Amino acid sequence: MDFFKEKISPYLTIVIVLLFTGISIQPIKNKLINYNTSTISVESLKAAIGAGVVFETLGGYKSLASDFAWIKSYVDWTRKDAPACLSAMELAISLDPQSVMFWKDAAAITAFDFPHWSYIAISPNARNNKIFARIKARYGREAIRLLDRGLLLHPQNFDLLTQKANIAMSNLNDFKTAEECYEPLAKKANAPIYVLRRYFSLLLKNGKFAQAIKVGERILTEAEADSPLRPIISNQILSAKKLLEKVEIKK
Amino acid sequence: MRRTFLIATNTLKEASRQKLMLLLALIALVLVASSNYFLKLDIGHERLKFVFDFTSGALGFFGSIIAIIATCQIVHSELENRTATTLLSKPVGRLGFVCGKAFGVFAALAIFTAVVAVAGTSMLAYTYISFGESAQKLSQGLTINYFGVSVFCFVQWLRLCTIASITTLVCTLSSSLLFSAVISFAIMAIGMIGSAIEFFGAKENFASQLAGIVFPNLQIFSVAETFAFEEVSLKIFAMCSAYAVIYIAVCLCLSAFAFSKREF
Repeated sequence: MDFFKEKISPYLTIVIVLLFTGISIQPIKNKLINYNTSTISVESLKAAIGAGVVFETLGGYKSLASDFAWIKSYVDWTRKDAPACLSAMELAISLDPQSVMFWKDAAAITAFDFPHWSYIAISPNARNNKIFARIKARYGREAIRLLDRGLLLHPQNFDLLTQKANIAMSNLNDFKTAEECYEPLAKKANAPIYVLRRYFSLLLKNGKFAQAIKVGERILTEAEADSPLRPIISNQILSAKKLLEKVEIKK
Repeated sequence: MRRTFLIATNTLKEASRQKLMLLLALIALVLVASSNYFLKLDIGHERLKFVFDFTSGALGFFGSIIAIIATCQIVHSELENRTATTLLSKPVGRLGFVCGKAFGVFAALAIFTAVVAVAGTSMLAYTYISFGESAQKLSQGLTINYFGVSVFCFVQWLRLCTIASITTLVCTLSSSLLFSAVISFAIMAIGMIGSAIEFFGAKENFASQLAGIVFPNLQIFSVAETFAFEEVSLKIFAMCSAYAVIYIAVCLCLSAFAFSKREF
């Protein structure tokens, strides 16, 4: 009994008091945690592999550490070592998931460089366009998965959406995804003309003529008076109108 | 109160003589002062944010190490040199002694934070001036809120004081400096990354829930980082301060309690 009183009870008292304190200030803690993650959903944090949080102990030095990880990925890139390059890029992203450039360039390297390295690695006799297209598609899907994780942290980010659209078009011939990427960018009031132009082309390619005509007319109102784009867009609007009529007649 | 103040003053003097603490503070300061130079190494970060990160890193990384090491050294030197016995034989209460020691460390941490804050703010201003208007463009429209930076530094000081209070509690319970330092670092790690564990698929169990309640969540103080480039939210600032003050008060009272149970 004396042993308990002398040795155990002080520790037990301390734990109980700390427990009581923890429970009492739980509302303050929860409010601060909610404020901290109000702009980032739990899914987004999971998407970034809980990333920045793990390296919280580094404090602000995360950005410097992520730079070194990125430089390491450059070294692996010059050696055309895809697995090492990918892991170094993932580390840079994990250290600082807030940097848009890391997501964007990592996706570009994955989609546009890795397929060439993989293709060269296979036997010359086995090389053909079909195989290259398959490799391109595989890395394209991987790059899009990476960008989707980045988009959870940076929703509606211009650079990430345009990059995703580029990869979808060049690696997967997926014009539907590309259209979906350009849609939110084109809907913005201050959307650049080239974004509208691309969205217009994608709508035409995907057979959405009515929508395309509206976007085309917006380009005509926003483009400069002497823009060489005007006659091209006007002609394309006329063609779209004819195609729309044909579609409606068929219906 | 006067006696506590005297102990605190002496502790501050003692802390300023600690070579390891001075060395760490110097490294932190040099890194903050050279943040503009490190911009050459930067790839793709917002410039002003990158420079600010050095201030945040100095306070977060070096500050935490200083808070733990300084507290451990100060409390254990009193116990090992038996000066604590001499002090306690005078009309100095256990709470007065513990508070005096802790306040001395808090004052040392305040000086460290103030110096880093001044250096960091100067570097931010220098970066802004040297890059002119392009600094803002290169920082994706971020604007420095100098008042926000000082509020952020104050919140970080509160965080360091919380770490120092927990370390004081650990020191009063243990008899080895190394043990105290290791346990304090472990508690700090739980407070920093404890909430991230579930993101890696670890299932929440009774032990993790208990640890989450017993130990303070040190990650919540990083919420103040937004103040550097946005408006200061007084509500958030007040909540951070309240959280830290409650933990500091409880830890110091428990340290006095543990000290009263200790045999010399």
